[in-house]
Amino acid sequence: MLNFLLLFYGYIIFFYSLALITSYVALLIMAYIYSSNYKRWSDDYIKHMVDSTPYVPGVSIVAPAYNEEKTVVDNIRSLLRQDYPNFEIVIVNDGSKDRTLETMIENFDLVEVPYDYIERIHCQPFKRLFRSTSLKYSKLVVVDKMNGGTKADAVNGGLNVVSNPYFINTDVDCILSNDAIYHCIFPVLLDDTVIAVSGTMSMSNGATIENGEIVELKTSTRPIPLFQDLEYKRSFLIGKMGWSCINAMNNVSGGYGLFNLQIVIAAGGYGSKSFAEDMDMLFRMIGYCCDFNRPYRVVQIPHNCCWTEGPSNVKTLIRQRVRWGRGLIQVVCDHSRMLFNPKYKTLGMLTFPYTFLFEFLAPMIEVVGIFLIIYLALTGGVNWDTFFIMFGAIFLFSVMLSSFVVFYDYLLGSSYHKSNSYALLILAGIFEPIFYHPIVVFSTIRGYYNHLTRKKAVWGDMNRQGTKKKKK
Amino acid sequence: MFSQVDGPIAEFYGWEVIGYYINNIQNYLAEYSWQVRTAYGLIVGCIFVMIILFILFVLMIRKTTKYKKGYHQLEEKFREPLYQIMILPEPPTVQEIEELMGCNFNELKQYDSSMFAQLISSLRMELCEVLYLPNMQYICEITGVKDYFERCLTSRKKVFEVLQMVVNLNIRINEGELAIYLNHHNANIRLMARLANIICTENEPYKYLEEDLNQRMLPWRPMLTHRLFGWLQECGRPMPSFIVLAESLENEQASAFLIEEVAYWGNDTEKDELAKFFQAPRHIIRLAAMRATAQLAREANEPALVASYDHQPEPIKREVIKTVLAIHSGKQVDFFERAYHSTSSKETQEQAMSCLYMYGNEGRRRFEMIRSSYQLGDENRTLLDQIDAANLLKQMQQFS
Repeated sequence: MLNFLLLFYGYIIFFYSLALITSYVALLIMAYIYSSNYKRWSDDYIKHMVDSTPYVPGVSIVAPAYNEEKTVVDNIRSLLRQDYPNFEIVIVNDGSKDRTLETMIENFDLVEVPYDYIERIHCQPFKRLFRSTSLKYSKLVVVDKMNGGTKADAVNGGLNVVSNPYFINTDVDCILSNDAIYHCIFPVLLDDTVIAVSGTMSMSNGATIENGEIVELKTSTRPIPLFQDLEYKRSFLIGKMGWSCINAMNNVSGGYGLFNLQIVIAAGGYGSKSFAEDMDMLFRMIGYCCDFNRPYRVVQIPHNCCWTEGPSNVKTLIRQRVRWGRGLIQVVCDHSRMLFNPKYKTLGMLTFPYTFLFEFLAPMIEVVGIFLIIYLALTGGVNWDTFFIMFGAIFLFSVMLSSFVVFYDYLLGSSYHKSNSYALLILAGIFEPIFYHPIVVFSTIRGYYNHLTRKKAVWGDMNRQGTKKKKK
Repeated sequence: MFSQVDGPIAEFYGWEVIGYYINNIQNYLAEYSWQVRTAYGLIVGCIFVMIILFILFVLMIRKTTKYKKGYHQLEEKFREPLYQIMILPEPPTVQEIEELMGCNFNELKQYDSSMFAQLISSLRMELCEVLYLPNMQYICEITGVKDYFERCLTSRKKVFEVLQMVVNLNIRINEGELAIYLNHHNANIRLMARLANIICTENEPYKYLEEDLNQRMLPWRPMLTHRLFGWLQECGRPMPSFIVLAESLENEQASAFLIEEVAYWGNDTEKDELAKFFQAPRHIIRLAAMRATAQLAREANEPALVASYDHQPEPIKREVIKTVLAIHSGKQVDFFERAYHSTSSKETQEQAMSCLYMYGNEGRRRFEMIRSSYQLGDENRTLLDQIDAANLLKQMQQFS
C-alpha cells in the first residue's frame, strides 16, 4: 500500500512539475510578445503628446506613512519630482508614533486647513488635513488619521481625499522614476477599459541615492536583497507580463500601481483586514466588473518605474513572507466563489486556478516532498541517479528562467548602470533554489498556519537600512 | 576513426561525427523510464537554450554599446549646431548651415540617419514651441532623415516607430509612401498613417478624419488630434469646419471633442454657435460647449448659459457655474447665490461658493455675508471655511 501511495505521489508530482514548467515557458513567450509590442511606442512621443494637450487626466499619488521619519522627506521630494502636468501627492500619516508628521510639517511648510471630510470608503477616523504654504509643495496634501493597523486602512483614508479620477498606490519609501506617471497612465489613454496598471518594480538596496533621486543603480551585494531582486524581476518581467498579454493578471503590486478610483470605490475600497490588500483589491475590482458586465483590462508595463527597499536580513524577510503567505490564503478563502467560475472570465477560469494550484498549494507540496525524500533516503528507498537527474532538470530550468529574466531586463532597457549587476543576478539564480527558496516556502507555510490558527498579526518595523547616500 | 569497447570498429566522416554524438545523447538513458528520459531531455534543452541565450546576450550588449557610442559621438558633434539652426527665425542659407555643422552636406549623409532622427526628436521635445518648423523639415532633408523614413516605409521595417516620428516631428514625407498603411489591419499603424497623411498631403487632408472620429473615442485620440490641429494652425494650413463635422458625426464623444476644439482653433462664427449646444439633447455635448465657452471666456454666450441653468442636471449645473466664473463678466453674483441655495447637492454648493469667492470684491463680500449667517461648527460653515482656507493658501503659495 505504501509503495502504491509513493508511486502515485511521484506521478502526481512529476505531472505537476511538467505543468508548471510548461506554464512558465508559455508565460515566457507571452511576456516577450507583449513587451515587444509595447516597446514600439516611443517614450518621447508619448511625453510630447501628454505635455502638449489639455485632455490629460489627473493622477493622485497615495502613499501611507507609518513611522517613516528617517526617510519621509527624501521620499516625498522624490514623489514631487514627477514630471507629469496634472498630479497631486496624498501622504497619509497613519497614526505614526515617531516624528513623521512633525518632520513633514517642518520640511514642507505645512499648515492645518479645514476640510469637509467625506468618508466614501470606511477607515479609521480622520483627524486633520495639511497643505503647504509654499508654491513648490502645492501639490502635497497630508492626511493625519488614526492608526488602522494595516496599509489598506491608510490607503482608504487617502482615497477619501483624492481629487483625481486615477490614483497611484505606492509606499512612501518607494522611489519613483520621474516619468513613472507618464508610463502608467499611457495604457489608460490607449484603452479606457483599463482599470489598473502595474509598473515594474526593483530593489533599491544596492542603489546610491542623492536627495531622493537614484544616481547609481546596481544590485545589492548582500544575498537576501539580491535574491529578492531576482525574484521581483522574474515576477514582473515574466509572470505579470505574460499574464498581461492575455488580460489574466491577478495582482497589481501594492508597491506601485495605478488604479481607476471610481472602480475601486465601487468595489468597496481596500480590505482593511487583508494582509494581501493588493491582490484582494484587484480580485474585488475584477469581480465588480464581471458582476456588472463591465469590460475591463489589467495591464503590466515593462518600464521600471519604482524602486523599493526590501528586507535585508533573514528575520525581516521571514516576517514579510509570513504576512504574504497569510494574505494569500486569505485571498483564496475570501474569493473562493470565483474559482472555476466562468462568470469571472480569465481570472476565474485560468489565473485563479493557476494561483491556487501553483502558488497556494506549491509550498505544501514542496514541504511534503522534502520530508518524503528525507524518509526515503533514510530507508534506502531513493534511486540516487534518478534523483539527481530529476533535481538537475528542475534546478537547470530554474537557472534558465533566471537567465531569461536577466536577458529580458537588458532587452527592455537595462535597469542597471553597471553590467556586473547582471553577473550577480545570474549568480543569484544559481544559488536561489538552494538557499533562498526554502526560506520562502517555510515562511509561507507558517503564514498559512497563522491564518488557520487565527494568530494575532503584528506588522512590525521594517528596520530600514536606508540606501547609500552619495558622498559630497 | 572511432571504436566502441567490445564492439565493431566503425569509421565516421564529416556530418556523421555529429550524428554519432547526437545518437549518444539520445540513447544515454535508454534503459531508464520515460520520466527520467523526459527530465534528461529537459536538462539538455535548458543547456542548449542557455548557450543560445548567452550568445544573443553578448551580441545584444555589443550592438547596444556600439549604437550608444556612435550616438554619443554624433550628439557631441551636432547637437549644438542643430539646436542653433532649429531656433533661427528664418530658413538659413546653405553656407550658414555648413558653417554651423562644420561639414558639407555630403559628409552628413555618411552618418547613421536613424541616430540623426533620434537626436532631432530629442531636440524637438526640448525646444517644443520655440523651434521654427520649416528649419526642422530642412534639417531632416539634409541629414537624410526624411529619406530614411521613406526607405523604412517602403521596405516595411520599423513602420510604427517611423510613423510615430513623422507625426511627432511633423515632417512632410512623400505621401505615396503612406498609401499602403492608410487602411492597414493594425489599428495603431492605421491611425498613425492617417495622422501622418494629414501632415503630408496637399489633396484632401481630412479625407479619413470623419471615419476615424466615428470609431471608439479612446482618450489618446483627442490628444493626438489636438496636437495635430495645433501644428496645422502653426503652418497656416486650412482647419476643418468643427461644428459642421461635429453635427455630422454619429459618435457623440467625437462630436463633443470637436466642439471643445472650437475654443482653440475655431473661427468667430463657430465660437458664436457654441450657445446653441447648451440645451443639446446629449449631456456630453452640453458639457463640451460649456468648457469651450469657459476657455474662450465669451461674454456674449453668458445670457444663454445662465438661462439654461435651471434645466440642467447637477453635474452640468456645476459646469455652468464654473463657466460663468471663467467668463467673469461681474454681473452674476446673484446667480451664484441662487445656485448655492437652490441645490441639494453638496458638490454643487461647494462649486457655487468657490466660484462666488473668486468672483471679485462683490462676490467675496457676498460670500462673507453667507458665511457669517452660519454658526461655528455648522456643516455649511465648515464647507465655507474650507473654501476660504483653500484660497488663502493659494495666495500664500503665490507669494512664497
